Amino acid sequence: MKNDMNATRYYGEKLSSYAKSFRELSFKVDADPNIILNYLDLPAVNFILSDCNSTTVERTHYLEAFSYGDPGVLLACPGPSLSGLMLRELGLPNQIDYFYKILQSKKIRTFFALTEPNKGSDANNIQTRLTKKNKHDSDYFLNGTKCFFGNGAVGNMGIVLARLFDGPLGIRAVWLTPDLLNNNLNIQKTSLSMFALKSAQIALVKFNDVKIPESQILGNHLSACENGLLGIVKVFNRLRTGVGALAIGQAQAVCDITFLINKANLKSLKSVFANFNSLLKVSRQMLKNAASEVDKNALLCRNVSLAKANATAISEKVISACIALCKMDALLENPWLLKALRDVHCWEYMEGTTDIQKKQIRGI
Amino acid sequence: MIKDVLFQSENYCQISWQEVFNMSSVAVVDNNSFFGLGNSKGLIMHSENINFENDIVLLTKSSVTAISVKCLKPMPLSFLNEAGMFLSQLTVDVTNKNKSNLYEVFINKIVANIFIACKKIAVYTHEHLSNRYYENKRIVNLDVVQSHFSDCMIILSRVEQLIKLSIKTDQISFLLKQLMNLLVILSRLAGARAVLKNNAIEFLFFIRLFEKFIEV
Repeated sequence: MKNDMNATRYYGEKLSSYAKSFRELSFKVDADPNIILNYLDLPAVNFILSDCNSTTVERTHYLEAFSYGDPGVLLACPGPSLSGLMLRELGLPNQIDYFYKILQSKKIRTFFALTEPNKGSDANNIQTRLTKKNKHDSDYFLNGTKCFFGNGAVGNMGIVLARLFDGPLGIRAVWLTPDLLNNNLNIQKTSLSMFALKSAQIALVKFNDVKIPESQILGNHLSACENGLLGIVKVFNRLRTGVGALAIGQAQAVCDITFLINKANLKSLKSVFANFNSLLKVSRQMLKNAASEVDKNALLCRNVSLAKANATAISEKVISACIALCKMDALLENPWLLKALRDVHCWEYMEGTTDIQKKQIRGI
Repeated sequence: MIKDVLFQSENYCQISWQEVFNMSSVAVVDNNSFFGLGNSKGLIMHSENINFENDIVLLTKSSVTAISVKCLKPMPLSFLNEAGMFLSQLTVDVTNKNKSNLYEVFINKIVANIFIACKKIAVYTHEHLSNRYYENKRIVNLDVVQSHFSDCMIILSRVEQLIKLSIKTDQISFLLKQLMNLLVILSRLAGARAVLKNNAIEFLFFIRLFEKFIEV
């Protein structure tokens, strides 16, 4: 197996060593994602858990490195996920502190539930509802179904997007803490059977009259505009380059392994690999530029969409072309390449498909 | 509960590589035989785990012969095996025992069956998007979606015509690539549902691997 990873040139020594630890676990976690709970003392896991204030640029950089190691292990890991970003966007300082305190002390997995079976990821048309039984009550009740979100059935904390009233200003982020989630008979959850990127453990979760204290609805201190759809848009803009980075990290790793496999034929393939590396480098730079722009203004969506759509397309193109350069026996000797080939199409579905990104790019 | 995330189509069906492989093998060997397809590097593809009591009917480009499964060294790859694709390395030389054209028959059959499966995916994906709405419009009627389905129709028609003309060995790779392109479009149209087990992404992966396997 061509496993002599040399990611230092892209990510530096620390992140490269984290990536290496993920690569070593890749097949174990793929076979059973929950096995990651046996590795909670890994420095890489602690690094993810400790991220409570990264910029989009920093996050984009480290997510690429982790994906170079193994994206599946990353997605199975405990950590703040999109929930942390949402807390940072809409939470009060004490809520943010509490979120990270629980996360770091209990080392738990988190989730972010937006997508619904009938409306997909169209945040404007969320059907999950927050209602009061009696208008004088302080508690709300959460009803609805969410699907296709990572760690939904195994996460101990997370955010669920729901509608308080009609219209884009009526969307709210509901923060479900371990005490609300664990052993709650009003929540039915199941992980869905996946073929690709199994360790993401995407789930289907039904909320039936789940009692939600008002304090768990984020952004009550903000204006109706800021804690509605706008808050979600900002969080997604801050994350899109991260998904692009997952795609590019995986493709860079495949490219590097394929390069080693084809070392004997390098004379004829030199320009081919130079082209792959140029495409990856350019895509990385596009992600970095877009991330930097979003760090300055989280409402700017054009370039993050452009960079994400480009990254997924380049990742598919490079991985497919690299695999074409390998004979079957080389693939069987390097099964991580097969796993990458299996998983590469998943980036398309995360945080908006290319058609959706194109809408943002066109400015619709 | 799971039915909430299935495709909204009466024609929805799960697509399994194992089934396509087994259905195709029936065209060349007895239904009850343990069948394996061999490539030029001595790799064997089969759809069931090795049962050490049985012989395997081994089909290669130049021959068909029954050999003991003891001549196979299994290559365990759990994520392939779980979906019904098993690979083994042949440890003996079995070339030129019984000359036959069954390899071509099998390859033709498997391409035809992959085509049928792709057509099924196209139908249920179209129906699914006919039953779903975006901004009060049926998703299937959105311009961008119509354009993708037109691309699918073009590929399907092209492949259908090629299959009717009878497939030559050197066209297999081209045909499979066409069908893989089709599955990429269909899986994008289907969204996250395509990632679930026994759907387009899984099928796409196995066709890729099969194409690689039969590559000279």
